[in-house]
Amino acid sequence: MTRKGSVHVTPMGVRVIDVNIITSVPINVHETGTANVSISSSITLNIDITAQTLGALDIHETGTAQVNITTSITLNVNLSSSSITLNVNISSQTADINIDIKAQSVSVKLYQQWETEQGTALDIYGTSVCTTGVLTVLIGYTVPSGKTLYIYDWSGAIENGDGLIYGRLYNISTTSVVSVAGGNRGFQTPFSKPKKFTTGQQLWVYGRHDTGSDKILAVHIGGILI
Amino acid sequence: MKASRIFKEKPVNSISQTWNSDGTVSISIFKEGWKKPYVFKAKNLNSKQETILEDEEVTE
Repeated sequence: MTRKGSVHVTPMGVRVIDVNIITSVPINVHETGTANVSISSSITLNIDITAQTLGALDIHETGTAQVNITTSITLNVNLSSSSITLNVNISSQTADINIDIKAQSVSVKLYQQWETEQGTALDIYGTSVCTTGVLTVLIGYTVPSGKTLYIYDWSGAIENGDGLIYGRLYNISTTSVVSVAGGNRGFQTPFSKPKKFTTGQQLWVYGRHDTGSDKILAVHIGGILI
Repeated sequence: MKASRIFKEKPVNSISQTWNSDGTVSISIFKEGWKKPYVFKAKNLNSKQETILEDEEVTE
């Protein structure tokens, strides 16, 4: 279907509707500048929008809506009270995509929130009496099969005295030092990007102090197993 | 299943390790929903010479 001016599509029954808008035409179906595509049955709706000035696009349907954007555009997708699969393909865009999902069985979440909900939060604490000047094992852990460990932070401290502490987070499987830290009495290191240990890899944490006498060192790792 | 096996094979929420000067380590594991943590003790953990000395049965 090719049309200039307003576009109003109200199909009835099961069918495939392709709406291809290829001319520079503002889509103002109503006086308020809103394009409504109302579909009353299951349908696959493919909408290709190129070089358009678009007010608001409301899609009401129960099938699959696929919106392909090939130019700069602001697209507001409002899904309300619908069972819908929405595929939004964005290529070479300088576009704002605002997705407002209400009353749906799906949700959009920040990755950290999703990771927390999908994974198993893990706290590992290790402690030992450490001889002064000796690098001592404080944590040894193997990532279970089929899991990946993301470490978000680690910390260490001397429990029973003052002094300088040094810590090393080590991936023994790759023989790589993942992090080192130190401080007066203790340290805490958050990772802006989590450290990753994959299935079967072993992480070891070592600590050391040079206070001149035996001290109890303690370390902690905070992470998520997915 | 023994606590040592869960430690190696299953995800848990909390692990506490106390390393001793004789090369042994006491490890306590806990998973959300359990009534209590479970403990096992090992020597030469994660090495070929690893030996499990004490091991609680996890009944949950």
